[in-house]
Parts: sequence; structure tokens; C-alpha cells
Amino acid sequence: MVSLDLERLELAQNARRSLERTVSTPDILAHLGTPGAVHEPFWTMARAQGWSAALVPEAYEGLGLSLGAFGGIAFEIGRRVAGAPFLTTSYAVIRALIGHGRESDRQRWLPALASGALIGSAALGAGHGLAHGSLRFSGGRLDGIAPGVAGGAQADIAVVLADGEDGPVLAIAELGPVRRRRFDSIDTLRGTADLIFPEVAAGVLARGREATEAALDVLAAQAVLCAFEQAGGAADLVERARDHACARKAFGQPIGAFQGIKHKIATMYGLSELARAASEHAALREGAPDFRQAAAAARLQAIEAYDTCARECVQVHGGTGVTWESGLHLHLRRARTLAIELGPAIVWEDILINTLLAEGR
Amino acid sequence: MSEVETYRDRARAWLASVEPRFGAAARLGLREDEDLALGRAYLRARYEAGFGGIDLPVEVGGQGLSAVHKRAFELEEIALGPPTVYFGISLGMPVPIVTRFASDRAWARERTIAALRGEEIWCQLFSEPAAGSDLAGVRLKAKRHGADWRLSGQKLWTSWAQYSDYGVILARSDPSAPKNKGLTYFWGDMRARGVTVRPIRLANAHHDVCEVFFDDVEVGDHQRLSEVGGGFSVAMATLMIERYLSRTAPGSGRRSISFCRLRGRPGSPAGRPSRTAASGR
Ligand SMILES: Cc1cc2nc3c(=O)[nH]c(=O)nc-3n(C[C@H](O)[C@H](O)[C@H](O)COP(=O)(O)OP(=O)(O)OC[C@H]3O[C@@H](n4cnc5c(N)ncnc54)[C@H](O)[C@@H]3O)c2cc1C
Repeated sequence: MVSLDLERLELAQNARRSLERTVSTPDILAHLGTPGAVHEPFWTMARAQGWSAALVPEAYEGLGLSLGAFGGIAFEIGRRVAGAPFLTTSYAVIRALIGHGRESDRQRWLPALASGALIGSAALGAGHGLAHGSLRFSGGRLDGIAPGVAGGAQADIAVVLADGEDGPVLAIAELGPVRRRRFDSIDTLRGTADLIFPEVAAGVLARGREATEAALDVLAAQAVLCAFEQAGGAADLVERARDHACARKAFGQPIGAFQGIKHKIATMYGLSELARAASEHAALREGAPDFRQAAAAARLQAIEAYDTCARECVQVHGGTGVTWESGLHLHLRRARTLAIELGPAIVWEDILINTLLAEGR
Repeated sequence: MSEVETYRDRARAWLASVEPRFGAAARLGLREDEDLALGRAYLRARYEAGFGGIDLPVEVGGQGLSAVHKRAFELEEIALGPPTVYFGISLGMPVPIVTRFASDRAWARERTIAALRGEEIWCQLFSEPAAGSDLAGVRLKAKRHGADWRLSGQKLWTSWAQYSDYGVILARSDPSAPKNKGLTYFWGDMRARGVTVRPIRLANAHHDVCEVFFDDVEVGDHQRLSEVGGGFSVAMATLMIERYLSRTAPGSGRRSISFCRLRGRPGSPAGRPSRTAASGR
């Protein structure tokens, strides 16, 4: 146990150092002006460090890290608002293939996903909690539109939850023939795009109730990874708010001496630590029957923590907080985006309540 | 029907008649300079239609009506979404303060009408790097120069200073007096020698505020809007207006979403809110 924890700590610290070298606020600000842009230095480093391979089993040329071990790295990525959503979006495809793919499909795609040569994305309509109903599956083909897919502007392959002839279908497709309609969003670095499928060949991973259950499991696993990222963002905001509150003076004393500010930062700290603890807990429950419940709790904590910290950190900074250069808006943009990408809080409240009700029955 | 309701109906009818020219849809895709020019044209039309300076005294060129009339008009105007944002500070605080505190009444009337018609813009030069919430901490120096004054120092976060013709300024005239007793309130010409304006980029990628530097800028004693050392009370009068204004400003309440959409013009990194971002929580 002890040596495992030390190993995790070291992984996270190395990640932190690499990120500090490779990703700076001015850098990311410059990319914000280019919709659909990827921060290449980040993605190149992520591949070189083996982050794209982290969650792929060793049998398929991955590193086979646990969700918790890689979570520590995701935490550092979140702290830095690093740009390129692929670690989370590719993970959906990795997870779906491991759980539901044919052996031949795993061998075909997992090594390429591990090396980062192949980028994955997911359109799971938050397990139909956000039913889009705009994507159909029939005769081995996907037809229609998957709206607002993170990483969709760059992805090579996707798992989607579509409407089949007799209920939902979880399908996997290469995106070569797909048309991408990129749109400006508040966080252009997410590469969000509508994917338009003109009768694209796709393989079935699961059907019917099994398909929605599989989609929810994939979403839950993504949510945990994302929660680490959100918790990392929140932690950075707590530190920045604290540093500013100690340095900035008004009425002859540091503003941190005023209750209005100090209580705010204490609240931020509490929320960010809860988000981190909930993420760690969920990661430890991987494979357990209550994993989905723990993931939903982590997601809800993380949404609240990151949103609140982003907003309050701007407030603590006064006028400086709303400048372009401060980069605090990068966190605001990312917090809002991550709060929605895998389905908003209301969907996860439903998921959590449904798992609790099922337990009571 | 009450008198205010009748007034509001009249406002609605006029606003509907100018919607094609000045409404939110007409602004889409405009560059900021074009949007500002459209704003000036809108203010002029508004003034000529009798809806400029609704609650300002008739004596200075206003309509002499109540704050309730003004609110009624603004609630209708917000729905139209015309480019009034550049004039929000100007007509909000500095102009009413000038109408109230300037001793040269003919001059005050001239300035007020020019501002109401969108021909001139005023900014509010209060905040500084070391004086935000703690406004009485302002350091910008006002030094006597014969009967007149010289200003030196820096202001920060001054909204729309880059488009402003005039500004109201809170300055420290007596560094030895207690903090809020040593201040004097002036108006100044933004084109005067020694004034430098540097726009600041904000999180929405627009340059809505500026840094303003004063380097030994000449200001006549007739430009004083308070007693010497009595600047803080005029500053408080200014902020009392601002306090109520923020509750009625365009962008407050239900209309703010369409306002945000408009601000994120195509090609701007501020971006349009994504469909989900606008509705999700
Ligand atoms: C978009 C924008 C436009 C602006 N336009 C203008 C303008 O046209 N003219 C102008 O003069 N100024 C303008 N300002 C400046 C604005 O008035 C200041 O930002 C504001 O007064 C806060 O000052 P500050 O930024 O220095 O923050 P600070 O005063 O440093 O405050 C930082 C934080 O500390 C808190 N704080 C400070 N003191 C206390 C206390 N005693 N107790 C509890 N909390 C406290 C504040 O609430 C804030 O959260 C503008 C600001 C913005 C953002």
C-alpha cells in the first residue's frame, strides 16, 4: 500500500514538473483565439510521457495504471488548465472496447489509442439522460447527428449511443466519412464539434438495456477522471485566491484579513478538498458494485467545487480577476465546460438517486 | 391606465419603430467602431424623440420626469438591445454629477445635451492600482499651480476612457490631511496634454476598460466640482447614483442572455455560449 502511494505521488510530481515546463498561461491564452486548435506541445508531451497509454491494459501496449494513479496526473493537468481533451475522450473508447469490444477490435485499436496515434471521442448523450434522439443505427450504419462532442473536431474514432430499431445501441465507428461542424464555444480548446454521420459503417458493442448500462459505466469512468481534473483546477484557484488575499492590501491591511474574503477562501478550500476526496474514493471503487454511485458523487462534488472556486477566485481578485492576462477566465471557461460535457449536474443527481433507490429495494 | 403606463406604451411604440435600424439584430457582426457609431446615432434619435435624459432637469436639457419613467423606458429599451453600453458610465454618473455640481450652468447644459445626443462621452476616473474598494486611498496628485492645478498619477479600470472626451476625477490635493479629507473632485479634458490612455483587454477579449496616466496635466480651478478637500462627498454622491444604476442597467435580469450572445461576436475568442452552456447548470 505504502509503496503504491509513493509511486503515485512521484507520478503526480513528475507530471506537475513537466506541465510547468510545457504549459503556460500566455501559451493557452494565445490558443484561445483559434477555435478547434489543439495545444500541440501539451499533446506531444502527453504522448511522450505515456499518459495516453496510462489506462490501456499492458496486453494492448498500455501501461495498465489504475484510475486512481492516473487520476493524480489528471489532477495536475486540471491545475494547469492544460489544453487537449483527448485523455478523457479517448478513455471512453478504451473503456468501451475493454468492456464490450471484440478481441479483434481491441487489437486493432487499443495500441493506437495507447500511443496517441488514434484519438477517441464519445457521444453518449449522458446515458440518454440527455436523449438527443438525433442519431440512428440500422443495417450496420450510423446516420444522423451527434451534437456538441468534446474532441470531436480532432477525433478519429468514437463510441456513440444511438437509437436502433429495437432500442438503444452502443456502437463504435471510425470517423473518416463523418462531417464535423465545429462551433465557437467558451472553451475553444475542447475541440467541440457536431458530428454528422452520413450512413457511416459502425460496429455494435451492446444493445438494449445492456447498451445504456454500458454507456453509463463508460460515462461514470470518464466522470471520475474528469473529477480529478476539476478538483485540480479548484485546488489551483484556492492557492491563487490565497496568494492574492495575502498580498493585496485595502484599508491598510491584507484583504485576507477581512471576513468576507477569508470565509470565502475557507469555503473554496473545503469544496476543493471534498472534490478531491470524492474522486479518490470513486477511483478506489473501480470494479465494485457501487462504482457508479461513487462516480456520480465525485462528479457532483467536482462540478460544485470547480464552478464555485472559479467564480469566487475572480471575486477575490477584484478588477484584476476579469482581465484577459490574469487567465482566471481560463478556469471559468473550463469549469463551465467540464460541468456540462459529460452531462450536467441534474443528470448525475438522477443517476445518484437511482442507484440509491436501487440499493433500498 | 396610469400616466407611467401610457408613457411606457409610447416608449414601446417608438422603440419598435427604430428596431430595424438600432435593434440587436442590426448590430450582429459589427466591429466595435461601427457599433459605437451606431450607438451615437441611436442616442441622437432617442434625444430627438424626447427620450434623452428622462430624469434630468429641464433646465440642463433633460425631460424633468421621474426615476420611475426612466426605469419604464429602460425596461423596454433593454428588449431592443441597442448599442448603449459605451454611454452607460457617461450618462450614468459623470453627466448627472456635472448637471448637479458645475457652477457654470450654461456650460453644464451644453455638455449635458452633447452627451445625451451621443456626441460627447464622459468617463469616471476614480479607481487606481492601490485604491479600489478603498476609494479614499486615491493617490493621483492635484498640486496648486498659481490659482489653478496640475494633476499627476495613474487611474485604472476606467471604462471606455479610449472613447471619452471628458472625465470626472477624484484626486489627492492634501497628502497631509486624513485620507478622506484630502481629496478634491475635478472634471478634466481627456484630450489635454499629458493624458495617456491605454486600453486593457478583459476576459471577454474586449477592451472595455483602460489605464489612464496623468503627467503634469493642467486643470483650471473652474474645473473643480467640489470644495477643496471636499471631494469625497461628491464621490459618494457619484457612487450613490451608481449603486442604484447597477440594478437597472442593461444586462441585468432576464435579458442578459441575449446580451451575452451579442457580445460574443463571430470570430471573437469570447465565443458564443454553446447551446448547452446557455441552458445547463
Ligand atoms: C469591468 C469594470 C469596469 C470598471 N469601471 C470603472 C470605472 O469606469 N471607473 C472607476 O473608477 N473604476 C472602475 N472599475 C473599478 C472598480 O470600481 C474596482 O474594481 C472595485 O472598486 C474593486 O477594486 P479592486 O479591483 O482594486 O479590488 P480590491 O479593492 O483589491 O478588492 C479585492 C477583493 O477584496 C474585497 N474587499 C476589499 N476590501 C474589503 C473589506 N473591507 N471587506 C471585505 N472584502 C473586501 C473586494 O470585495 C474584492 O472581492 C471597474 C471595474 C471593472 C471590473
